[in-house]
Amino acid sequence: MKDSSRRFRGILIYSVTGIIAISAIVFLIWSLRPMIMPVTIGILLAYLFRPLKTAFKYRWMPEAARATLIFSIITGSLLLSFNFIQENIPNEKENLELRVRLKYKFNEKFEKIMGLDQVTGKGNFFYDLVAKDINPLRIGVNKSLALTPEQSERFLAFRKGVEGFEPVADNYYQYYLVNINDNPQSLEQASTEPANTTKAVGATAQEQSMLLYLIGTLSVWLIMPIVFIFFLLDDGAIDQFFVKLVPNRYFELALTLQEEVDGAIGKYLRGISMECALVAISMVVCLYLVGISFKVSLIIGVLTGVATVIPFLGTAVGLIASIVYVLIAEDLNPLVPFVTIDNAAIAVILVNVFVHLLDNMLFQPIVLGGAVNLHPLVIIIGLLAGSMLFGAAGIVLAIPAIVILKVVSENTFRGLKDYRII
Amino acid sequence: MQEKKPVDVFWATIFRKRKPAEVSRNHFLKTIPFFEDLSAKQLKTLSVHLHERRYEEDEYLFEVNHPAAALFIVARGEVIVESSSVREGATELAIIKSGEFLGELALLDSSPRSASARATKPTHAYSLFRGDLVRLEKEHPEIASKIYRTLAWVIGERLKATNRQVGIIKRAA
Repeated sequence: MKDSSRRFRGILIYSVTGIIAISAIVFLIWSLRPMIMPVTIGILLAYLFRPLKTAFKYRWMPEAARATLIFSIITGSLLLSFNFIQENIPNEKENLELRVRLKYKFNEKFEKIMGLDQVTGKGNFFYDLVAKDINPLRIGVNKSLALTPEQSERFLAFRKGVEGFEPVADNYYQYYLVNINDNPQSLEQASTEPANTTKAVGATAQEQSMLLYLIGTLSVWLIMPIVFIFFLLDDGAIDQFFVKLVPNRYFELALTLQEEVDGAIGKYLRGISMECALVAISMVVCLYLVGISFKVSLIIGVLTGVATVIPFLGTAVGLIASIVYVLIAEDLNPLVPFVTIDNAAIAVILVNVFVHLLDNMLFQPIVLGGAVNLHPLVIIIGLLAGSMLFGAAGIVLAIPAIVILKVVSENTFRGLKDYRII
Repeated sequence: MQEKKPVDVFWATIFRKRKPAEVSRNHFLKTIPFFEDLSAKQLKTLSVHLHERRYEEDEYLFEVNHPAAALFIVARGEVIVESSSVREGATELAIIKSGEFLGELALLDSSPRSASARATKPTHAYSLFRGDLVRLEKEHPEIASKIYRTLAWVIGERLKATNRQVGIIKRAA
């Protein structure tokens, strides 16, 4: 009688506490949702850099000094990398020049391939065959590459030479004029756009609100390095807190599962980051050897590396970006023989095939060998679902979430059977 | 009456005394044969990796044939190690009292437990997980090597005792 009443009280207290705790957690997650991204990225970075945890372990070095040294090295190398990439990505002027050149060269190549006559508008046999389908595509590309009135103003300002930049080269200005003639509406807009006061006031207000938004966002992101350093240097206190909540019956199972999940996430994240970095470096080196400038090679390499997270997308991005670039390139400085401006497209196709093979035959088996094997379709669907449900945060969290789900589902049932729980 | 000195919060925090529970845990660990070779600093590092568990009377610490994952050290209470078979029921193999440990083979591999361990009194135990020992191997190899050495010694002693018992049984037969 006494036992059953104690049991009833136990169930009641556990249920009430559980419901209150779950409601509080849900409320907190919802209220603090802007912090989810920085906290998660801090945790994922800690997983990435976990091997560094054992670095600089000297008897004479206090733990606090070691932690500070590790943090400084990681922060320093991240800042240096960002700075290097920032210095090498095109500035506003280069960006505008690239768009102007891209639009001009695209139309030039299009007219050349289709044998288009400027006066009559008639093309060759091939053009007659595909004109219906390809013309909307041409219009779409032209629209997306066309400069807005503000950008046209900036381009013309750069042409005169402002803000310490060299004036825009003559050939690019000629391209700009041809592009404008192709699109008289934008020419009209560009020439008649008045710089009135209302617009300036509006812009200032917009800038102010942007500044407030940036300050707000930055203050939320301040949590990221704190989470990162605590997770990186944690000696097991965080794990212990969660394991303490597990009932005795599931204690050993929980420890085993937690270790397997922990290991799998760490291995996958480190493996995939390493693979992306190796693909990016290989692309930069190979494209540079083929004669593409270092800045452009770096951009294409970084894009390809980032896209490698999604199977096949890396190769596709690298291939399209490098072919588009060599088609509009003015000149190349190849370090390998036999590559000329005429056969550069074939050279970059070969580069992409080479890097793809290198990735499949060398990088993946070495750096992803022991990690969780995810089917490409699962990754693609997961990323799409993540972006549809949670936007940018969903894309970042999708792959770690899939890895956790896969490892937990694989090991939980095995563990439950081994421990005769089911 | 003597006047009380004002408390300097800064220096008091820096030179704070360790919490009584922390001190008693480390002091207790020092008395366990498994950890007697470890220095105070090493014990402090190790204690971070120990999981604290509390068991009710008749609650199992682990059961026979379950995959082994952790060593248990009884801090307070009593645990009975028993082999159970369907035909003969449970056979008592040993009684583990405060300050003693059990399940040490779990630190080597995950092969199934050869016996069950059940608390016969409300028990307070510390547990060292195999995965944490592997992590210690990388982060604090000097601590892990001392634990492995003690583990080898314990297994050696058990083997000698088993050989003696086999000898006695053979002579009796």
